[in-house]
Amino acid sequence: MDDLEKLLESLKAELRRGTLVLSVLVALNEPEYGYALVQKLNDYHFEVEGNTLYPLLRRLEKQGLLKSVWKTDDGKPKKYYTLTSEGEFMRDALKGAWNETNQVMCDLMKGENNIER
Amino acid sequence: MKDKQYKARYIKAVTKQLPLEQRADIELELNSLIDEQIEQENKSVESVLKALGHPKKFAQNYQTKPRYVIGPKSFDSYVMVLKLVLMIGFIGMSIALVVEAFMMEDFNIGSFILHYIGSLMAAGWQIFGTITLIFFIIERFAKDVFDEDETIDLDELPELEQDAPSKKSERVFNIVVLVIFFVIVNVNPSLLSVFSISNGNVAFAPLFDEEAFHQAKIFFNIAIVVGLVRNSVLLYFQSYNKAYLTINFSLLIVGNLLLVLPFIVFDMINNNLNEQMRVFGYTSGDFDFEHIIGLGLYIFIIVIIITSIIEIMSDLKKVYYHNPCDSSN
Repeated sequence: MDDLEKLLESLKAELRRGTLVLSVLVALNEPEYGYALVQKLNDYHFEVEGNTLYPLLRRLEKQGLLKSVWKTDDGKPKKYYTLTSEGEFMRDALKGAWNETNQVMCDLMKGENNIER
Repeated sequence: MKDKQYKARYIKAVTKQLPLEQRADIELELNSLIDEQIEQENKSVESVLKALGHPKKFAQNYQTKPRYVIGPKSFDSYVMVLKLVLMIGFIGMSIALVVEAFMMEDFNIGSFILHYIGSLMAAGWQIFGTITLIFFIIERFAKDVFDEDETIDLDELPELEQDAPSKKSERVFNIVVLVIFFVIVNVNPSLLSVFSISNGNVAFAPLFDEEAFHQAKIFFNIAIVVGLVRNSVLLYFQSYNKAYLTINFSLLIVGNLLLVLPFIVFDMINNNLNEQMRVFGYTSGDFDFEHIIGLGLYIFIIVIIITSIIEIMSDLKKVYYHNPCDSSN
């Protein structure tokens, strides 16, 4: 991998990192455990590794956006995460912010300028 | 069996770096993640663990507390306070040690220098450790202290002339120092001596050989005049350009060469200094005070050369950045 490709990969990773919290909050529209959430995101081609997602889930739980409960499926303990009401509020607010950013980026890429001066 | 051990060891390697109260929960969660990946994706333990990455990095992702001693918000304040306290500490220590030396009955310059250097180093480390500890505690428990008011006061922005090559204060300071040096060399060279005060009588031993100093005087005087001309002329330059560079370089090199040359050409150090130090009671036995002075001069010459090179390099860089399109620079 040459330097330019490495730079591209790191910039893409940076872009993804910025959207990771929103992706997790949106994907948690129903209770999920860590591995299932990784799979769900990967199914949407949003690639995320367990070593990134698991610490993030714990951090969001600490911030009060998620709550968790241990359940035993097929004799194996799994920790299920769901959104709290604060998490739902944050998901909706971030969705709004995302849509605005998306619109701005689309306009910018099309070369349109909707800014009123 | 081996796979089970690898898995357990990997999980242990991650969790041992985490707070105790989180370990059991994260251990269960990682067990579940690894098992799921092995079963659902038909992967070997080895490939799953390798895909999860180094345990240290995995554990770092769980860390929410900062992993630095002094944070970016407080770093500037830390450096400023450290410099200030070190400076005050060194000045205070120097005064205290000199006063202590004057009160000693059997003063010995050699042991004094060693004691002085040792004390300054010990004080320096103590100040460094204490200031760092204080900032570390503030960083951990009251870091809001460093939250800055982000409104800008335009009057507080740096003055433009600070970037001009001839900082007036610096040039004026240099001129004052050169005048003082001129007076010492021509009017009162005895100030370049070691003094002894005994029973109200002041005796002095010149650092330099009288004849050699007399011969060197002309070099020193020309060097002073060159220095005065250089600093006076540079006062009037408002920007970095080729003329500034030429005048500054040529006069700087000529002046410093004239200043250093006598110490290389003539045997400048007073040959009776060791004997006179013993008479004053400052040294005893075979202590070679002349050697110390020689060493000091050697360091002085090296400092002059290094500071000249730094000034030239720094000016070259500034001239280039101020005139990037002018290839003649």
